[in-house]
Amino acid sequence: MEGDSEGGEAMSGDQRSAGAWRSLVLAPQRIVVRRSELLAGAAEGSVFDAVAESAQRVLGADGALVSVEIDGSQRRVGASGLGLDEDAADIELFRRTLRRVEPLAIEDTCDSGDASEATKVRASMGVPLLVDDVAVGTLAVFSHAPRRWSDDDRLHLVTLSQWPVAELARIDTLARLHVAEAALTRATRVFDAMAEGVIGLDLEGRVALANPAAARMLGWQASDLIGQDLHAVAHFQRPDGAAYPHDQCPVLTTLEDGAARAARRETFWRRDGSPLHVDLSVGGLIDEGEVTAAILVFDDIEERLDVERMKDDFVSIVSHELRSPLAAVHGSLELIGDVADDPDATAQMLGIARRNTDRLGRLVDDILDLERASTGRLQLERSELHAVSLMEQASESVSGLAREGDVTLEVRPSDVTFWGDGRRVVQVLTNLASNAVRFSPQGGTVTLTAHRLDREVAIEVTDAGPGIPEEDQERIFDRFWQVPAGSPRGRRGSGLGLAIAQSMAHAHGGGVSVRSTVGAGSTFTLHVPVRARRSTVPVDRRTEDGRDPR
Amino acid sequence: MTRVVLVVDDEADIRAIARVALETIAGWRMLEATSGDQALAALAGGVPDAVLMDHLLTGEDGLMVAARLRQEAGLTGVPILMMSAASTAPTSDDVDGFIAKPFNPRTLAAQISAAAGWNA
Repeated sequence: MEGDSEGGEAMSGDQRSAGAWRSLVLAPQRIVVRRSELLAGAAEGSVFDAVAESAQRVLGADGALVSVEIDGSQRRVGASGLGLDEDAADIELFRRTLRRVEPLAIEDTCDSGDASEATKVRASMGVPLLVDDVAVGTLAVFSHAPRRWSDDDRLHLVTLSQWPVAELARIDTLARLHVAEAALTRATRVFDAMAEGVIGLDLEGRVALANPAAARMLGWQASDLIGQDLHAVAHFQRPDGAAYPHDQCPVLTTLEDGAARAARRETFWRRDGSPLHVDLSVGGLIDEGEVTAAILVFDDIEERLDVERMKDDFVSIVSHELRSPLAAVHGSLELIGDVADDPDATAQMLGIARRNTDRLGRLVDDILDLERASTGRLQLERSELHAVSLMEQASESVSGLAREGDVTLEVRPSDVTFWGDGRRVVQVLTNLASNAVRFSPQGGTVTLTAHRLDREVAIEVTDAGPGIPEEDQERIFDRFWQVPAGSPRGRRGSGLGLAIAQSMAHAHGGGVSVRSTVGAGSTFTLHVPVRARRSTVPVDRRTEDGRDPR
Repeated sequence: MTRVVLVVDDEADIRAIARVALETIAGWRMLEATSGDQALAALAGGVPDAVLMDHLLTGEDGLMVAARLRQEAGLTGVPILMMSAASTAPTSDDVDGFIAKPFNPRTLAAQISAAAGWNA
């Protein structure tokens, strides 16, 4: 029945969506509409015709009519006898009858001024049809000749009027039922579709109803959850394992006093014993001043907590990484005056200041690059690239570091070309090559090789360093992750290099992967998909509000 | 009097600054180490008057190294002072004091003396 009276036209998704809410919000109006529809349906060959016919016969009249208010005007829903198609005058009689609670009897329309050539009615008697003390229609009998209506006539007509009144009450009830069922269906769908968990609790704190999200989050079958003491099965202890006393539980307190409350970072316990971190709000259902139940709404905040933790970590690490070089700059400049008569010490202090200023600058650049790349604000300027040229540029940038460590850089010849942002690809390769050199043994070789595969270009940077244990191979791409023991050759990295390389590869629609065996060296590979020559930013790199960042 | 301080920090530049601060300015002697293993090795050559330990070392952190110095090297009666940029001082039973980082090199010796409870 839902969807009826919404028109037969095809609806757009928006209209359907609006319709879903309309059926809830506009339920009272919909009852009126539904009642009209049911009445209009009932008007044809109906109970009302039978009522009119009975009234005509019982009272020996020439005709009878039943009228009902539909959509604000009186409409004939049942008729018997008379040539009553011409009902111009009926309407006025109906209207006058409707204003009464008693029957309106007219013995001769010529005397009462109601005479009408058209209707040929000389006498009439009407009774209002009262539903809940409101006149919503009339039952009337007519005569072609003047007639004096007896007390029996009145009694019969009033008695007969109970029949259409009962029918109207039935239709009204049916209309309410139809609309209520439609609204219930909608409300159930809303309840089931909610991303938040919703649980209805009885006064004892037992689950009376639970939506699918609540059951899923708590790890229960919805049907098993019904009837459970929620505090006992899911809220019995604090995150630290200490008991959670009943009198401290916000949910149970609301069941006591009915007051709405919210609690952040509560811990529920799933059926399998694992913790579920939630924000919750709970409200009491009050009936005649008494709390009868409570409704609990909660939301899984694990993901948000993760993001907050990551942000905290990021901030604390960044501040440490920024402070260390800053402390060196500050300390060395502070001492310049004290070592002024020692040229070597002066040069050393100035060197420290310069090195750490550079390090600060690189760190700031790295953080900005990473931030741009990971929020999709990295602008790629694509052009056709020759892999060998990029590898040579990367090799050149780390040649100084390689000389220091007696490491040989080897760029293998290649005719591979692809489409990408040359500056960024060189940045990625320089990063990988710099790591490879820093971890290479003295006299080792770092090799750069490009391959054209089926749908991508792969550029490999291979070293003969110590290799990376399997358990670390994912973490090396994390921000600020550093080799736990032993300093590699050359400058200390920011710990952001591989994270940046990975983000930039992602911005190209590719990635950086690693193959490594402890003791046998590592190969880092930049993968870039071969695509049409269009500058596109992948959808998953767009800004959060869905705008294309360019 | 001439004090001997073992500075454990994995940043060469910070060690260089500490050396000027302690040796050139204060006239003390400084031993240095970049890790727990190096610190233990340094102790084998002689016991310093104090240990100045960076909190965030690569690998083992300062508290872990302090514990090793107490247990493995049996270092007792020598104050271990923790250097940290953290607003709340990292502490343990093995640690006797705290020096905020970044330190002012011109007053580092005075800070160490105060934290170690030495009379200047």
